[in-house]
Amino acid sequence: MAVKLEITNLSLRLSGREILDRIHFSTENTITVILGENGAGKTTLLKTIAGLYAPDGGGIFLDGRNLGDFTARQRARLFSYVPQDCQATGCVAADFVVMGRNPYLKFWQMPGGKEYSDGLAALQALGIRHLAERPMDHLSGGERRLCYLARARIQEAEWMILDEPESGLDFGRRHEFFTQLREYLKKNRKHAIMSLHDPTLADAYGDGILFMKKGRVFSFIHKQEKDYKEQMADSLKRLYGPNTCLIEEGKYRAVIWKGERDADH
Amino acid sequence: MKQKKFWALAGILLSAVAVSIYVGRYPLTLQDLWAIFTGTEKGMGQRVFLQIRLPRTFLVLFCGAALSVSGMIYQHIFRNPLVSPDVLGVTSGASVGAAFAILLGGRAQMIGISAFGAGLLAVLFTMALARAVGGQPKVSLLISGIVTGAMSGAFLMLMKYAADPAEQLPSIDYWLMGSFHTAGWKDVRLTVPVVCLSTAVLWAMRWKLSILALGDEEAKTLGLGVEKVRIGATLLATLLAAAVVSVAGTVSWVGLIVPHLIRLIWGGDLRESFGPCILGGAAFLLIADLIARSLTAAEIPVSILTSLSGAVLLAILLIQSRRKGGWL
Repeated sequence: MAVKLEITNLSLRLSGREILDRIHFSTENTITVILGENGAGKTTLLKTIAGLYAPDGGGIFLDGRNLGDFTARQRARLFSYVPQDCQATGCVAADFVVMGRNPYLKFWQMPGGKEYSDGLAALQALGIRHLAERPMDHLSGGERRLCYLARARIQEAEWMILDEPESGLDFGRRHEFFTQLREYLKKNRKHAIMSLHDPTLADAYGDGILFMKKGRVFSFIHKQEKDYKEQMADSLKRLYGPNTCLIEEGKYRAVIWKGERDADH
Repeated sequence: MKQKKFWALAGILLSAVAVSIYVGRYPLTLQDLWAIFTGTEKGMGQRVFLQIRLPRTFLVLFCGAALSVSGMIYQHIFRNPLVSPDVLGVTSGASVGAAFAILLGGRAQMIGISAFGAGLLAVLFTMALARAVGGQPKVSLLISGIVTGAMSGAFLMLMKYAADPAEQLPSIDYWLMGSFHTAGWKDVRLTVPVVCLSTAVLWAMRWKLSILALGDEEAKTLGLGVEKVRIGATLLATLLAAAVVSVAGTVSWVGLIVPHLIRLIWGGDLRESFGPCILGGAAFLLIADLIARSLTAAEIPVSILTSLSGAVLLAILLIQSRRKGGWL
């Protein structure tokens, strides 16, 4: 089920300031990564796709259907959203995770055995089954983020919207997280669009990488393109400055910063 | 553990009910009660029991539950433990309605209906004003509530000023203090359906409301019609408060303090605390009313007791939770 996400000339103003300026792209990638400097509008773009802001111009389309016409409930079946700061409190992890089934439950329905076993399975898949009965307030930031991801999984939306999902995870967990996410998305034919701050991760796990600066997209490159590496190196320099270098070691790549250092002297 | 506490609360409530139908100015012995139950006693005792004590107990039970559920819903929706049904202006609006009816020389039922209508009107005004103000809905609603309260206060003063000081003024003041001393079956018939219906719908919504507690943005991405749920629940909670105000006048603090106590014991999850909140509110008001009508020869307004005990309890809770590093 290829579900094409199209953003056409999307503009958004918040309290008079232009945050998104005619964003235009379309993607069917498994993982689409947005890179951009602080304040470039990455979070705003993701929130707009999630339906939290109404665009001032342009639109968002899924397989040609305008998302503006959808109700919150319909939208929630198409997009799940994991915010930058995962701060939910007030209930235990299992109760929190089953809330992901809300778009499928009728108004008076409460989550039952089926929802809870789905929720526990999602927690199990992310390796945090043992946290199910713990209050959200007592979990660490990273554990809470995993609960959000479990919730996004049982929401079974076509697209996962993730805002800096790597933050709060240690080095090993980051790579584990992306490997698992890829596997899950491929297996269930789902898609993810996310913002990242680490270009090495973007290069390693993204199928398409969108570069943003000052509310505009200045480049969108895809891994299957022939000159991907050159384009990537070039766009990274444009975004982070001339010191940014894409280096290769066998089949692995990393982005490093070649600048003045005390140790060089 | 929580189960046990729930049964303890139910036990307190049942004993309060038992004492409430037994104790009163007209002495009824257990023998009399037995005779009334079996239908052999048909005199004064039966009339007192069936026409005064029983309806009053019923009314107080339902009003206590209504106020406490109403307060719990408000505190939940506004994510503010210090919010009670009064914030949207329901009480002050209802007071204006009641005073107006008293000025026109209306009878008890007229006063009740006028209070109910004006209370709802005040809340609708608050919500319309909040919409006009815009911005953060939680904040603008609170501010609009303050505006409505101030305006109602002005109208109320105007009416008190215009009132005949010999008869109307005391009766306005007495109404404002709140009391169940006129309670009869007709009040029960007016109040109970509203209370039951609103509470039942809120009960059915309790899971949706706990999603709302995650915050508007998250709730929306989970497919919740945030505005619809919030406005619906606010209106239902208001209906509960207005129903009480219309039959009993302003009964303060129940809606603030009971949900508070319940939250301390059962936690903030609506699914856990909803049931205890119903029982707790009913028990609290019933005990307060019991004391109000048996403490002195003449009955004192119940609000004096609920305010006093509520204020003291809140102070204790605040100090304690502050020591434990709680929420304020």
